[in-house]
Amino acid sequence: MWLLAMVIGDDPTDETLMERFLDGDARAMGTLYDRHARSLKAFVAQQGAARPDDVVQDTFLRVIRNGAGFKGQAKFRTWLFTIGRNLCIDASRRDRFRSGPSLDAPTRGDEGPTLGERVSNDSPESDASRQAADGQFRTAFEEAMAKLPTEQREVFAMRELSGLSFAEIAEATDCNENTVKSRMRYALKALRDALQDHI
Amino acid sequence: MVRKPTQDPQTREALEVLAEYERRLAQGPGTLGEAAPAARDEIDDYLRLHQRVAALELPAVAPSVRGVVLGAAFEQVEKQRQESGFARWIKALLRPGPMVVMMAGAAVVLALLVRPDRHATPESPPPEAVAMAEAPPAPQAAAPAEPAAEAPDLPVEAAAAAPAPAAAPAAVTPAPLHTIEAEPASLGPVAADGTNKGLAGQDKPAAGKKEWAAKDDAKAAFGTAPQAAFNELKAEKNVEDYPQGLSDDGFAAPPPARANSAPEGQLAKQASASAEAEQQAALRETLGSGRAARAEATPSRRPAPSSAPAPVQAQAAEPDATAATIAKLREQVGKTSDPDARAALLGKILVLARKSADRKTEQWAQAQLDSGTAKSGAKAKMAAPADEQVPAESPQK
Repeated sequence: MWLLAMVIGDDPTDETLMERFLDGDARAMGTLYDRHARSLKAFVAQQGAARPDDVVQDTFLRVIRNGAGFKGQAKFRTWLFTIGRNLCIDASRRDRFRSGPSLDAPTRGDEGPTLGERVSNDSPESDASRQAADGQFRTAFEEAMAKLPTEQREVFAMRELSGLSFAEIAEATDCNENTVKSRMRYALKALRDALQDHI
Repeated sequence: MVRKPTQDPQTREALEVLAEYERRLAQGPGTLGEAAPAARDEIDDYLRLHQRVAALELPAVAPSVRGVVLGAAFEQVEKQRQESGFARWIKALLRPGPMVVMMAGAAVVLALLVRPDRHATPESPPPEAVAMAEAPPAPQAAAPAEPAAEAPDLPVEAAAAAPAPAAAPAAVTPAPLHTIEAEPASLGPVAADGTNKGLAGQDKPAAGKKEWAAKDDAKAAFGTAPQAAFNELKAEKNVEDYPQGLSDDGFAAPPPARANSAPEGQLAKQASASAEAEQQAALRETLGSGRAARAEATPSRRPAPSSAPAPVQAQAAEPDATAATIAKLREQVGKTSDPDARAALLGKILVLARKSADRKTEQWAQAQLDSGTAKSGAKAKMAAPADEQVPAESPQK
């Protein structure tokens, strides 16, 4: 099937790429990574993970090791985000007992320099340029997202940042779809109130 | 599954607003919605928020992460290739489908191995027949007996277990006895003390039946080895039951019908007569074969295993011919003065006397040999004819 899709030239689906990987095509996993790594990192970063890159890496490593368990009953993206969400929960539990700041963790949001980078290269030009790139909206948005309850935050991140459908979110979070929609509406309402000056 | 509509007004309102928000997102932020004006303003705010969030660039992942992920992917693919064929075969075999097929095959093989007809030995009588033989007669035995022609109908196992009459005469008698015992209703009315009075000559008490059943059990227990001795005992028992004696040809004469044991109805008469005739035939065969076996076993006290039974008339004439030969040899002994020739003649007489079970002549010949008239060399010659083992088929030799 995936050979036919390759001959025709259609963009293969995630499930087809996963099937290719299980048949021995390692490059199919590279394609899957390129498709979903950034959206996954955005979701993971909004979940409060201290090192989102590590979570993204662990998520894809789990996909590779447990690829034989993927039966195609769920969408690959749902499976991927379910793994990422569980890893975020585990990471937040571990970080709860961490007292000091990590040198590898970004100091401001996701894109800010790590504490180690700031100690070694504390130049005001680079900090100013990065702040200019992010803008005030990003800062306000991240602050507003941090204030959201976890359930509403993960629904909003999956929907608006990662582009999952409500059905996929419901499956990934093991919730009713109406519950997911209700959480989404509360998250939208809270963000609108918090970012009233920026929209 | 039909999902019930949400009854909570807040949830219902949230769902309506979100449905309008999604619809306007799909059609474009500039389209007017169908919601109420208050909700329309709210949805417009959501659409503006969505535009600002979508304008944010997604965070990039460090390039090293991609290298790690791709390296792990290549490693996993290589690991799958190196997996042995045996492991793949085991994995394929342990799936539910092959497991069900294997278990079904094992069940079929097990059922064939423990099939009950393989354990049934031909010598052992069927347990149903033994149980019915020991069971008391049925109370409805006063009813007219079944036709005797149905009496020899054996169970399938008993028929298969019964050997041919000519090949093994000892196994002839149990079959009709089993049949009669297995069908007590065919024997006619039964008295209160268990005595069956319906068949002439068969008015034995229930204890007699138990004795026969015990013999059958003993036969089954000891197998085929003591079969000949058992049948001899059975034949003697039959002779004792019919004390009127043997006929001229050596067979038991049919017992006279007694007035007090006569069957009541015509059907019972026919049944008893038929069954009686079959028993008589079985007795004849048993007695004849028993005598033949005894005559063969006499010289060496052990029957020849492959010798077929001789004709009855020839066996009846055998003792006379042997006695004549012995008398002739005794005359020659009296006439002969040579000790070696005398010893040889005495040895022949000894052999013939042993063969014909003539103890008197045997003792005489032995006494003559031991009395010293025979020399020491004659004893060696006496042993030679004893070893010759004259076959039973040629008694004149």
